[in-house]
Amino acid sequence: MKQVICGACGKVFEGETEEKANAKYLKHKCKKTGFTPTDVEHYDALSNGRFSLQSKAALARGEKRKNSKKK
Amino acid sequence: MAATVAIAEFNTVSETKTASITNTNMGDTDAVNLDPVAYPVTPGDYTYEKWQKIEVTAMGGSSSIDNLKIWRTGALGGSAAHLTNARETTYGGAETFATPLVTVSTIALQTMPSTEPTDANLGIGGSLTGALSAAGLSDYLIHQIGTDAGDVAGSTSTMNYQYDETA
Repeated sequence: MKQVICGACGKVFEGETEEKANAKYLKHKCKKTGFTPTDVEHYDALSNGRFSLQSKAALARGEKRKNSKKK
Repeated sequence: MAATVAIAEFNTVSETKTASITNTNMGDTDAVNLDPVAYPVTPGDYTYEKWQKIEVTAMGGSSSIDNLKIWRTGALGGSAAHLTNARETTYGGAETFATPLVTVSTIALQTMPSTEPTDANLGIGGSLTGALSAAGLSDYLIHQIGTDAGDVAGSTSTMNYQYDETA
């Protein structure tokens, strides 16, 4: 059995494969943040809101590279 | 909406995954979020390797995540060296997991950059030009600190994990 542990709340998810264990992890509502690991709010809660700022910066870099390729 | 991205760490012979780690403390135990005071490294020895991946848990409507860059800011203590498999040239491709070593790594052989790399230095699907268009994982980032026998104190520095996101 493979295990995936939520680094925030510590809950352990098991599955025959890592993918199956991870699918369970991705669906759980984290007791520490109140959100699932697919919600932006989950990461903002763990980083005092810094995740959204980093995400905006990542989008800006991605768009800048995309636009520079068009030229 | 935006993609949700975090760092996952893999430990022990079982390759147990801890998602959304909150630090990358390094020391004399193969464990996530370890306490370096409780697990100090004997001067002259190595920390356990860290085996980590950048994980996209949802694309959030975006089309691509790519251009992964890894570097550390802040000095190490004494004459310690921080080594990694992340590199911009002659990248070794996707590594297969092996139980983290506390002896010198056979994979983390490149000095960890101390400034932002010019180009990607960690791959996706074995390639530095790889990209994720759905939830998934990067190649393994492996890194380790080697200390010198004359080192007397640890240090605190910042690991940077950067990605580009295309809407």
